[in-house]
Amino acid sequence: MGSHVWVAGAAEFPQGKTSWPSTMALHEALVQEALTDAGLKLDDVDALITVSPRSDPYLVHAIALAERLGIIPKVALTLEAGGTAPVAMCASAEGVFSTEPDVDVVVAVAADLPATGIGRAQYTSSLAVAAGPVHPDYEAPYGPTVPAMFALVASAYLDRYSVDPLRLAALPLQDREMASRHPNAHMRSPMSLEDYVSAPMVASPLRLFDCAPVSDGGGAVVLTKHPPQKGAQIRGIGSSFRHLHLSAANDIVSFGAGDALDRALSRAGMSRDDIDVACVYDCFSIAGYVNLEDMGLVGRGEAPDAIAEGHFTAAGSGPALNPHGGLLSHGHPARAGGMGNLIEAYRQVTGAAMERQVPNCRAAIVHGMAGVFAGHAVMILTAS
Amino acid sequence: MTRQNPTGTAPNADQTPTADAFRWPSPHVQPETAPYWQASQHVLPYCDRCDRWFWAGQRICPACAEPLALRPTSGQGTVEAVTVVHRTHDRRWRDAVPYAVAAVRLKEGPRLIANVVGSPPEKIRIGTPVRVVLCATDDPHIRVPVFETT
Repeated sequence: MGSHVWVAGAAEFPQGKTSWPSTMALHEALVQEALTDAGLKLDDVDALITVSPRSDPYLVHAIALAERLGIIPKVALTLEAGGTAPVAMCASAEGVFSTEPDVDVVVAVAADLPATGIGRAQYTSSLAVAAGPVHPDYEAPYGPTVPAMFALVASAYLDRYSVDPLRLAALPLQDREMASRHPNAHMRSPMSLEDYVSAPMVASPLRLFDCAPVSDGGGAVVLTKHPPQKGAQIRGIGSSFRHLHLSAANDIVSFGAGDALDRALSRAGMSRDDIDVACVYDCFSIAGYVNLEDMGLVGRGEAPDAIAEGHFTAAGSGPALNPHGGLLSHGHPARAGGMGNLIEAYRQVTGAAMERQVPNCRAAIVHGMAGVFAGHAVMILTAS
Repeated sequence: MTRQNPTGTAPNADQTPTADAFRWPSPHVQPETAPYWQASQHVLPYCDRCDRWFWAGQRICPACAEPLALRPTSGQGTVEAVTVVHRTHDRRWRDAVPYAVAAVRLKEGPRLIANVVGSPPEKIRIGTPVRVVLCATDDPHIRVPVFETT
């Protein structure tokens, strides 16, 4: 079972504050690096799939990138999919391969420069008023920041499962420890529980380190219709879209990540026990906990304790969670949020994760999330 | 315009903070949203045929596809989730921190995410009963539904 799409190469540069002259320059470099990794050249590219970055808008971004690269692709697609975009780009590539017989190589790239290209303050305030996760008509008038929307979910989560607010520290601490071993991670300096607690409250119960940083960055992957010499196979993809705004959500502490994982596993003919590495979208600590629980990888209200006890590490009984440091410490590059999850899953199943390598990693899941738990997409990768 | 904290702890200690003293930034009123913001009491979309209430953004009933009419709510609800915002880059709200934003489940069922006034923000708990109060905005013709503790 599974799809007939392979990941043949990937590229990523250091996330954080960068000195790229433009967002397009970063896209260009990522495409070239990913092609080199795949052993391919620019003129091998049949199709480009991109995400329109916040820092560099074009009428059709993928065509602008093709123009910049000086190539004439057979297909150029720009997706609007929030944090599900990394997986959605791969799903689109699968569709392109099945409908375009002369397309063999697709490059999917997402990158953004919110830290230096737009500026952190302007970026975060714009998210609460325009094309962000806050409803522009019915939620924005009350001044909810993006952290506040996630904090609402966190408050209900702590209340429903009687979890001590300080237990929220578990994932930020584990992610930071993982990121310390990743040369590209944005937040690599060691963090203690004391550092976590003494950081300012942003929107209660979420403190500064419950929130992902605003990072420049992103990544690219080369997707092929034919198995590469080295690479990963996409085994299954599943998505779920239950609402866009938190006001319209059915429950306030449980969302669609589990639906997406179920669909992906069913297509792959695999089970949860097969997952060795889980790259779960954690733009906020609470997102990591709720998504892990919705995916059925741990019981309700149990994710913080399970993480604190080491359950989700290479040595633990569960899948190794976010060996790259998650969005919380590897970084959150605006429209390219979650590319790190895709790149890490690819590195892990191909045995190329260096000192972060999880031993015997056969299968990894990439989870992406749009909005406040709104859209979910899960992709399963195995070594090819 | 001097902003005061909408939720009870004023930056200016000599003033008594109330919902009356704070002016909310006016929502962006468009033809489609004007009936919601200009209603004389709190309203939400309702389907007569299916006897179902919906959140403010719903336009047609997903069960029968009929257009929904706005209908007055009881204005009564319960705090389902609450946060106190301490940091914002939004210049319209910077001087108002710390302020409370809550998700409230109205008696009719739908959720409304809005501020809660009348109590210090840190004191608002999940499960607290609240009621809608319409509050003044920068636009004299528009009031926004906000919650106060009962």
